[in-house]
Amino acid sequence: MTVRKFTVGVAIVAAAVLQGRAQDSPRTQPPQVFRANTDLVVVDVSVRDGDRPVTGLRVDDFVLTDNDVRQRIESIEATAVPIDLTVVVDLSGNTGSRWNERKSAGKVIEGVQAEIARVTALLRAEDRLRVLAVDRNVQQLVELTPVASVAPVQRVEFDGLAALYDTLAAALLQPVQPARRHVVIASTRGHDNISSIGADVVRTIAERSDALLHVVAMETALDNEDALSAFQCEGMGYCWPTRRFWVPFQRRLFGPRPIHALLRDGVALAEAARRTGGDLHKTRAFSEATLAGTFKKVFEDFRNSYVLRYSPRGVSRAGWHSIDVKVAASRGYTVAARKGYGIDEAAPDALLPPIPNAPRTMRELTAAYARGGYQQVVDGIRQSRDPSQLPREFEGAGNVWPSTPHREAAFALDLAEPAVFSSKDNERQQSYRLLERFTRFVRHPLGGDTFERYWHFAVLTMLEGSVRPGVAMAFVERALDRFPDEPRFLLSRAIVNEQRWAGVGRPERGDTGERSLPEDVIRAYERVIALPGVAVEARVRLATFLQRTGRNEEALQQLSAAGSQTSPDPVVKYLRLLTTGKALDGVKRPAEAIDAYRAALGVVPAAQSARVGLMNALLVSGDRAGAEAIAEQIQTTRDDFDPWWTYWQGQFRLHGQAVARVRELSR
Amino acid sequence: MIHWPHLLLVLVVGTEGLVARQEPQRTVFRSNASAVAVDVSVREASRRPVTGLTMRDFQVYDNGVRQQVDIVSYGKLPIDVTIALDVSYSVTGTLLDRLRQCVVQLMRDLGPEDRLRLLLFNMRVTRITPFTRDVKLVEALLRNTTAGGGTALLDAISVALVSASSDDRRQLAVFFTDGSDSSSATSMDTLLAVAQRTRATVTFVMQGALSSLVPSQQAALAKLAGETGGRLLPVGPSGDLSSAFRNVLSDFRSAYVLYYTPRNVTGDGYHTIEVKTTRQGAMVLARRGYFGS
Repeated sequence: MTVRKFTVGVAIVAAAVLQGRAQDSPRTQPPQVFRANTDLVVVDVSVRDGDRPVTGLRVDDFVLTDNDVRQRIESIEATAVPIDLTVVVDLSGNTGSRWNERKSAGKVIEGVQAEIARVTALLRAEDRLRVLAVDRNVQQLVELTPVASVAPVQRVEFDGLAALYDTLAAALLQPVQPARRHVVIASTRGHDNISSIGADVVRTIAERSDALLHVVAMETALDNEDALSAFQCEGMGYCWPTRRFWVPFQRRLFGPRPIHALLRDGVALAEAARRTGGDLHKTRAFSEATLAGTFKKVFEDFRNSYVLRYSPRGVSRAGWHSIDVKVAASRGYTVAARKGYGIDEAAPDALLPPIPNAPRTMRELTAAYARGGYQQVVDGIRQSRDPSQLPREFEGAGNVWPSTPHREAAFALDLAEPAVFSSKDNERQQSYRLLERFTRFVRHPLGGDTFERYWHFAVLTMLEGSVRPGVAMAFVERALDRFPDEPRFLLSRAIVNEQRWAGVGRPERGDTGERSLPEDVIRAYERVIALPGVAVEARVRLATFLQRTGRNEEALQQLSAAGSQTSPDPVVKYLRLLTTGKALDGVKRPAEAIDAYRAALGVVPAAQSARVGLMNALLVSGDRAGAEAIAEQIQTTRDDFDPWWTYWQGQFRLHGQAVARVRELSR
Repeated sequence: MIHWPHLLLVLVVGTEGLVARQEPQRTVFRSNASAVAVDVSVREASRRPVTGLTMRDFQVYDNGVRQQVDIVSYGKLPIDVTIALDVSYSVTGTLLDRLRQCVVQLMRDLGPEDRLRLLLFNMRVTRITPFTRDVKLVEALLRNTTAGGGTALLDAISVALVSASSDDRRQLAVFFTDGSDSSSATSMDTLLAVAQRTRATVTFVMQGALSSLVPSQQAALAKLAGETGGRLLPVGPSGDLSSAFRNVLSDFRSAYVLYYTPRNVTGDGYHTIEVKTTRQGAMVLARRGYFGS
């Protein structure tokens, strides 16, 4: 019997992005000119004649239809495309070889490392590897990393309930770069206890995923597991709810009556794999499939693949697109093509009416947002008479963009902002609820991705800016729960602590208004002063705190310890010089303080705080005329900006950038 | 040279209205004479001002050394009033309206040679009009005022104290504020140093705010006011703000100005001043010192 395999991948990319990638890679064809704003569909195809890959095919050899409309293939590339391989290992249940044996964490890690070693031995230098593990949580043991630099696994959770479907979804939803292919090889014991989704949802996700999915059945493990489950249920009363999708091999062989190997979920899962071009691999002739063995077979296809590119014509843009790829006049070739792709983007802007300057209704706002009319959306929201009304409507509207949840989360930020800064309690509470809800929705199952990180940062900068430390601290802790080592979040904690110490802002409902102790503030800053990206700001803020509490010498030591460290941020530069001046004033060194204030004014020329400092220092030094001249400047300057005024707002100055990044990542 | 009370050079030649030993209409000082001028408010227990006092009724001590009072002036020198209004976010629209009326009323109480300057402060300190007597102008400017932002009270005080003003006029600075400060670059220590080197009398009118101030803030503001010969004047939430402002001006106007030439004390550094009166039961309020240079 001829074994026919195929691999297919599809990516919708902006043409310009692809062009950029093509220029980056010496292995691809010379750069081509693509029309801007045109979708480009990239299809991975493998063609086999029995076990033998078919090479040397040209554009004219292929017939490609998109929703039954034949398409013109713009380019074809026969190349070994780099692979992003996601390996999913099932560590749920009993990982021992027998049901009454439990493995230690060290042994489990050793086993995973061995599996990684077997797989990486098959990969090429340009390939990348990611390792996920199935247990009660989705675990990312190795983040996507070039093969040469895969770090050892440090810690695993195992022996828990199985969240297989959640883990598969997490793997299948990983974004894929246009010039790469994503392959998911997942081992499973064949059951799932606690996933939030079912096998049918995995099938739907797989259909729309850019990944190729192969599932490997660990039948011996399942058999052991089954014996343990039976013992626990019958003997101990622990009967876990289980969604098992196949009957173990040995039971099928020796059981009381013959039944189909795959149960309903198993059929769905096998179908999911097949819809991506992959398969579900079970024991054949007493030879159990393995991860590495399966991948080895799959990998052959990637050495001899074709990449077809076309711009869809004669079909509606939105909706599901069925793809069919054939080799013209083939004689028994097997051509694998993914069955389709989906687009739920809005129609091209040219066909739509202009975005209103200040959209008002939720329908107008979401339509404008989807088209990138961010400023109009912000203007519209700010002009709303009741800032709490829109968040309520948004929540009531359900899933506005079901296929792009990130966009909803980004939109929620803009929606919440006017209410966060409102003087009305009910409006603020509404915005907090909205943000709290999306704090849960943006959680990436693999433990936090770039979008989630920036989303949290945008929330924290906004709440720091509103100077409501009681509320801000709750969101800081949520962000740190997800990203414990993120320097900006740790800095946020220190800033909110300082806000609490100073008693600035006003307590919210339920907030005790409890003041932080000075030691808490110092400790929080000290934890951050060695971290990259925030070290200078943390040290300057710590020095400012020390100066404010009369510890001028210590403040000067902190500023001195910053040494030649610099920050490109003019606000941090200014605060550093201003605090230097104030601390020098505090230790009665007015001449040096004058120099520091003048340097601060070199950074922000009309800043009031440095002018006031300079004025005071000149007066105390006996230069009355100089002091009076500056007093005159202070009183008559109208449109100045002083970074000192934003000190209590922490990192709010970065909020605009954070929101812009979130929007960018949400598209 | 006259210290007022910070050793400003003032040539008081042909100054009218000074009350010398024999109450002459004109007093002539030698051009290189050095003198200190001190505003002194003398009140009965009922707070009624005590009038008609002469040099013999005062005892002035500079760094603990009794000084000879050269001249006593009463209610003659023109006054420059600086009104500084806190327009941070805690000041609501209704209160702004009331403040507008207070300032307009106060301007009507000014003497023929008195002037008023208006500062607004939240985190920014802004002079909306220099010294003027134009009531309509001030009223119009106040109508355009809105409140918002943090508070830089200490910065505002410092700027008001340092601002240049004529040496031949008395200086009163009245701050309407809730007393909280979130945005100042000036510390209280620095502000005290500034106050010792300038001459305005600082008084705070604080509506219903004292209870929300921590004791240390209250004490610091009271100390600052006391240092300059001013005071801290709380007004209840429904109290008469207009009367409070007018009383502050009236009290200041009814103060004496004592002039003396320091003797048997060194010129440089901080000089404490103590003023006593021989009038039985009277209370004396005067600046506590000055900085010699």
